[in-house]
Amino acid sequence: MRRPTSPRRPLLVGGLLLTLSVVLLFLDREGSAPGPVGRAVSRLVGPLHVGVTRAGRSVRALRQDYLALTDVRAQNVALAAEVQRLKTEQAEVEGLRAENERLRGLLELADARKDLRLRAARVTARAVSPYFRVLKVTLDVGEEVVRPGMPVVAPGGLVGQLRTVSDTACEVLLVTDPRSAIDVVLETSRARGLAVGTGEPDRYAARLEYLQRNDESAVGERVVTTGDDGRYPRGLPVGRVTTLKAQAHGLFQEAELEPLVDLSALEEVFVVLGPTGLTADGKELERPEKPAPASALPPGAPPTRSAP
Amino acid sequence: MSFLLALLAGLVALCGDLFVREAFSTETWSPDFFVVVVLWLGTTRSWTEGAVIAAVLGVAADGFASSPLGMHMLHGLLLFYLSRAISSRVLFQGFLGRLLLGLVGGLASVFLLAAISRLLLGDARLAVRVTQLILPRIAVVVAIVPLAFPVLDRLEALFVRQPERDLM
Repeated sequence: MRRPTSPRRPLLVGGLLLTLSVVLLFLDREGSAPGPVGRAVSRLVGPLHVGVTRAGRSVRALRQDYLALTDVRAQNVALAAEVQRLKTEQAEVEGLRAENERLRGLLELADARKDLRLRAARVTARAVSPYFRVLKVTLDVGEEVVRPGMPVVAPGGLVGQLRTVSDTACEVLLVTDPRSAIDVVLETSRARGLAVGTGEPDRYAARLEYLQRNDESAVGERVVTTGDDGRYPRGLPVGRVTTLKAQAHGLFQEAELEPLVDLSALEEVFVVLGPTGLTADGKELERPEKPAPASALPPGAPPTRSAP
Repeated sequence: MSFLLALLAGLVALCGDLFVREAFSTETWSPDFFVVVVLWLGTTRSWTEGAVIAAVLGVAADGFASSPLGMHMLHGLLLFYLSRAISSRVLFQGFLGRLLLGLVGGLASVFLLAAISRLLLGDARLAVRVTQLILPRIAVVVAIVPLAFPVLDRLEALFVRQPERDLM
């Protein structure tokens, strides 16, 4: 049986507690260091305080890590976009550098051959037929200036000749086309022959026909135009001998040449319009040279095979 | 049991206060769970029981806050008596009633703390700092009281044995 609560009890308890709190407050206020009661409270509450603080800090660290990760993700997206943009720019710079080198090569060629009137042209397309080796080029000159049959050169050497000329584009018959035949001479051995394109679909090459069996030619020797066929100027590099095979009988030996120009990666070329009347190094000719037969050819004249 | 539950709820509230402050760095807007629990004691506990619980929780709050010992004890006691006195005259029922109690209790809490700081501790700067935070402190208490009271009531209903009914 519970005893009835005294009506004075709340007042007593309240008064006691209020007095105690005020006394504690004044005791704690007096000294800088906590008293024995304060130390006891600290000892009791301390572990709980430390534990809760640690838990709170863990959650805060987790939250900050998550926020940091979110930032990292956003940064990652931004950096990936930046990398993509820089890659594109780098590719553009590489393209410009390559173009610059090509154009520099063209300029060097123009400087080296001051005896030739050259007109720059850009390669726009390549024939897709596996049987023919033809390039399409656009020219920045009128139709009346260029004519079929004119030689086309690149910094490395001879490319071919103009096959057709229209308002918008010209077709270039490459030296490796089977319809192409060029009167050539091997630079060192002075052996003469006819470079006829093989027209192979998987490589650019030409056969050297009518190469005398007793000619002391060698693999690696450079092959240049003779200028005697009336179409190509003298001394244009055509290619380099890659194979040489003497036949058991007969007058000639078999040989192949590889063009000096990378025909698969041509971007810009020169069309040889004719002679300038100067020497290759730009000096005046002492006696007037016979005009280049190429420019004298009638329009639309097909390339012809000429015997050595 | 009811006494222990209230004490435990108060300690959990103090820990929650500290935890939220640490975890979310809510210095100004940290929830004042101690005040909320003391206000709840005023509406549910007798004068004696409530005063003892408020005093014990106040001492613990002093330990957590590293404040002068007795400061939160006195603050809790006075707030409890105020809440108990108001609750014995006005019935704070429903959401709006609790909102009103939160408003009155929050306001009283800030002024009591400022008065204790100024009059008993003689710390005028602390009193000014307390009154500068009057708006966030009241807002937090007003927002939490209507949410916390039903939870505390529900807990008490779950854990405290009800008086046996006369089935005869």
